[in-house]
Amino acid sequence: MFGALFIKEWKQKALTFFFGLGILVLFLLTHLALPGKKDLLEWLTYALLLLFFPFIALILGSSGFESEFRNGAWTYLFSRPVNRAVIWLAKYASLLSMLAALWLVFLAMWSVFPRFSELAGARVLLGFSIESGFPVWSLIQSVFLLTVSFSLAVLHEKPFNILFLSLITGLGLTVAVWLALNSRVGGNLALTAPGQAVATFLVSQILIALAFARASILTLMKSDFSQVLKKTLSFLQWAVPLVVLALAGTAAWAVLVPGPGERYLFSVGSSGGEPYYITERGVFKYSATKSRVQWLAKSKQINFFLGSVSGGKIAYTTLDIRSKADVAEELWVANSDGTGRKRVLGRGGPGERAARRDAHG
Amino acid sequence: MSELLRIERLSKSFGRHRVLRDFDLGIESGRVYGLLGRNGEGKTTLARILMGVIPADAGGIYYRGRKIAFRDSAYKREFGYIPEDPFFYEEMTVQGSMDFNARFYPRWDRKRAAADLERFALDSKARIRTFSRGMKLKLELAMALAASPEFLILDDPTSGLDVPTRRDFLRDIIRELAASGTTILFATHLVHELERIVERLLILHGGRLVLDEDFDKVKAQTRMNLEDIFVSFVSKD
Repeated sequence: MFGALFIKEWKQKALTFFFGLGILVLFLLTHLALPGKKDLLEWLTYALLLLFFPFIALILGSSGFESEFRNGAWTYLFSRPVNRAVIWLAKYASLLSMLAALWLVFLAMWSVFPRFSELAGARVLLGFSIESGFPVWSLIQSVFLLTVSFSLAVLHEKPFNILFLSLITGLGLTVAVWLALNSRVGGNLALTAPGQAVATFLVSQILIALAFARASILTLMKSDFSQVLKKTLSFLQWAVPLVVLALAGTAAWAVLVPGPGERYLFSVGSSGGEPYYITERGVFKYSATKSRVQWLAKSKQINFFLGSVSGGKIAYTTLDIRSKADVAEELWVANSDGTGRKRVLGRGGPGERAARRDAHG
Repeated sequence: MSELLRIERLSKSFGRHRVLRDFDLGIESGRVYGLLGRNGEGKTTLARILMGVIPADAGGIYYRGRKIAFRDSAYKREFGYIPEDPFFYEEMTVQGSMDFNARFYPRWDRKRAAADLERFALDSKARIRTFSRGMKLKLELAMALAASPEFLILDDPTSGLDVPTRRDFLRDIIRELAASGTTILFATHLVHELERIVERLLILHGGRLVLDEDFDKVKAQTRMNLEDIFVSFVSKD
């Protein structure tokens, strides 16, 4: 049954798939025909990654149940001996395989033509200073948008409306998470710990997509499709708490799950024969006699290039980030065992007050 | 005869309109049931609930003694359903649609399917979207028969058929099915169609059954034809 539904979906969406394939072939031909136009080719590559793949995903997803709405084929399909969850999964797997096939074609082009991969290997997700060797963000966004649009497609008969709704909902949630990671709400994670911010962003995409998928499957399995309002309310009844749960899960991930291991390690000297280090997570001391690392001060916003240890005291600097444009440094001092930690310079401190006095003459 | 299907206190509303209210029915295997009711009385709703197309608001359905939940699908392998309006994936060909259906039914009879396509003069290579309503109904019928159902629900399908096919359908096919032990629930508002084949008469009115009796017995008691019996029951209030 899964196979029959999977193949049926491929047959019905073959035109959309070949349309996507045609765009990729055109893109390849442009590459071959205009080898010297590097700027144009770069723009075309970005257009392909940021527009083509997400939009083909939206088109595939939003038309996921078009044939069932047409001519009342819901009745036909629901009266067959097949579980509704299987219907959902078979259709989704079929659409996902079409997107995967288009990506495989892109991958083949990427690996066969070195010039092409040079263009594609650039930062794609705005806001994150991450150099990706492969345009993974476009792939993630397209799978995310396919899932959201397909999940919403159970609600309405017109694919264009679903496409528009999915674009608003999918991109809206993506931008909301991205803004949170770049603001105080998200602890300025994108600025202070880009590696963890990227992981958190990925988690949010997966959890939100799962929330939509779960709400969609439950709607398909339990709702009365002959009553549109009732069906829509059922979807909202499941989707709203699940999306809230997904966002809460993302926040919990950011707070509870440690980021990737220390990428930067800065030695600030030694005191009493014990070395002191500053990493992205704070100040550490290695005790050779106890053979263990002691975490002296936790900070996600530490400036790990500035610090010193002397006379039984350690000094280090952190960043007080209010926004991207408003970042102030703070100087902290603590005893060498981590006790007595206090801020001695920073916003509102003696340094800033002196600067204000100078400014006012 | 053993009880095949039992429906208990079934209710269904569409907005404020309550279509079925505490509907009870027992169906014995191997019999032909005729369900009469005026337009909008809930015949199609009942058929759709039985086929798991829409959920009931309350009540229970038992097939061979086992309660059917809305999410269940396995029981439908033994059910056939011919709706009033035939629904298909219209871009499929007749043969494509047959092959698609065959994957769902373990008792699918390919020989019978081919024979019925020939009998109804349906071109297996034709696309369904080119068919008239009557042709689609014939295809629907051929599909339902090929699945070899234990229980066949006919939701007023004959109104779109031409007279020879309707006769063929009623006289031959339904009798043939009934003779082979298939239980049939024939919902309609066209009493003349039903009179020729019905064994047990059901009349639906106001969301409930107002009559559930052997047709011969009712006919003997009332000395009326089916049309008069029907009118006498549905115009009581």
